[in-house]
Amino acid sequence: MSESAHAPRILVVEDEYLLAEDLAETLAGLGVCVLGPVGALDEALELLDTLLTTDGGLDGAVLDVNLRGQMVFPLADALAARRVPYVFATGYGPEVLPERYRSAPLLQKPIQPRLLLSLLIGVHVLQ
Amino acid sequence: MNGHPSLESPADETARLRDEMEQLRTALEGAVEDNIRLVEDRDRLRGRVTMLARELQAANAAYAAAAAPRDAPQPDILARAETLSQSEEELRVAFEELQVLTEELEATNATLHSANRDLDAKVAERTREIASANAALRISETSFRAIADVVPDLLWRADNTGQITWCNSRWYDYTGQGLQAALDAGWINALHPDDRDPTRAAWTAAVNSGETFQRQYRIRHRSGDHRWFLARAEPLNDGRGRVSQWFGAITDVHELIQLQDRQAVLLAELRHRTRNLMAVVETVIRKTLASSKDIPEARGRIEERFGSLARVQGLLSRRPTGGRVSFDALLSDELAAHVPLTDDPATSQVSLEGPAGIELRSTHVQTLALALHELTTNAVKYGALAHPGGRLTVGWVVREVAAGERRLVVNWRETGVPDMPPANPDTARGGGYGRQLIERALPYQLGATTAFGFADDGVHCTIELPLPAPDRPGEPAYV
Repeated sequence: MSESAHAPRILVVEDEYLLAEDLAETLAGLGVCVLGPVGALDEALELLDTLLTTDGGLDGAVLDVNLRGQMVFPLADALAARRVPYVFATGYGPEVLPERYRSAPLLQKPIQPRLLLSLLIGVHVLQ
Repeated sequence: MNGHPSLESPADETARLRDEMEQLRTALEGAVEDNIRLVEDRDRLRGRVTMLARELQAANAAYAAAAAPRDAPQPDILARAETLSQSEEELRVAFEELQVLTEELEATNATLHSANRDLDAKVAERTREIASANAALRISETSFRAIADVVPDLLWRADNTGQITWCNSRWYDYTGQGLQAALDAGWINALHPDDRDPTRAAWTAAVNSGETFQRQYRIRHRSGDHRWFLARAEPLNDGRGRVSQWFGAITDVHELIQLQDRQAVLLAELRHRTRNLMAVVETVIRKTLASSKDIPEARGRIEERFGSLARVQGLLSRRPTGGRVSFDALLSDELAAHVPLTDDPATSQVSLEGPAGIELRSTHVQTLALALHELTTNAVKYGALAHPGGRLTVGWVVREVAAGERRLVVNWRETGVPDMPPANPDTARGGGYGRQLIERALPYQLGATTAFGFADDGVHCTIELPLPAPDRPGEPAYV
């Protein structure tokens, strides 16, 4: 990570503050430039627009599936349309995902930050 | 489903009686023909007897004329006498034949009369039987319809091509669709538009295969709402291995399906909450370890924080299905774990002032509980509840900020605390975790507005957070 030209910029979307804060801290400790965290879908969509027009761009995102009762899928679609890799994180089982999202990587909470990173950066490198 | 004697045998009985009467009618016609033939024979015979009698009369007259003038018989006269006696013999035979014929005729006439009487009696008897069978059929049909309309199910019959021929009045009561409109394939229009094509296909497949039909679909109520139903239909055999008709029942399973859905949602919610709780537990441990001087201190804090988490889980699991946790219950549960709560202001250091039963969003309960826990333990260790002269007053009110949008305003005020530290005391006391919860977690997660500060004589904290809309339809209580 330290060898790369810039620290990977990763968006954290998670509505549980303690989890969001903890994940953000851990990722930062691993050399990631954390964007967010944000806990609501509309905030996340707004932030995405801002991020994509700034210089740094966005290298990946981790998405809590259920944000205060709202499903995160519109954000996943927006990311996919811009070829930004993402990982779902959920306390639910994989059955909570609609069929067309079943092929996306899914992490069960509590998230292992290194696993998350390898998934995101791995996908990032492959693209 | 097999055999429905009350529906089918009266019709069979009627057909059998009809056959029997037909046979009797044929027999009667035969007897009448016999009688006519006998009458013709008799008339012919009478004609012949009359003719013979005349011939005999003529012959007698001729004989008398010839015999009178002469004493001795002449050969001519002898010949005539011969002829006469032959005629007499013929006449006697004819009379005998007539006699026999007449007797025969009388006998067949008697038979005919008796057969006629039998026939009349049988016709009368069969007519009575048919009338009573028809009455039984009518009663059976009436009672079938009565039963069919008593059951809560929607019942129907279809012919062997799958066209609906009958349905009970429940169908009309529920759908508002009349019998004529429902017949043939009209019933499909009462189904939810999304369910029509698959149901039609499944029904066609069942009719083609002759196998039991079973399917769930939504039917439109006359009010326009849709409810889920379970439909089942069995083919009825005609006794020769062919399907003669179908008999179907449609049962309302809407509540059951809703309960199943709700159960699935609750199960998913439980798994979610458990996993989330694990993650929160992990975070609490990490944060506490990072902010504690040593392991014993960390252990004490972890135990307290887990105690708080356990209490709030207890509150969440004890509430009735679909119920919510109220703010006063949450607050007194937390405070009572640390200080004695009494209603007597003279002895109690704690005063709670606010309405009971203000219900919280269930997703807010855990984080709010952790924040109240941090405020309480800080008060017990360093603040109002650590000093004999200290006082804690918690007041709360509900404020309507917009139509249907209510917020709970909580005012946490500690007084009578000596030696309030001059600056940034929280990092020195309690590691800043509580303050982080109030100033960052509550706004982030609950959309709350918070203020945390130090007055001269104690902590002053306000928390303003959104409440669930009262009885908002569509929002499940677990949100």
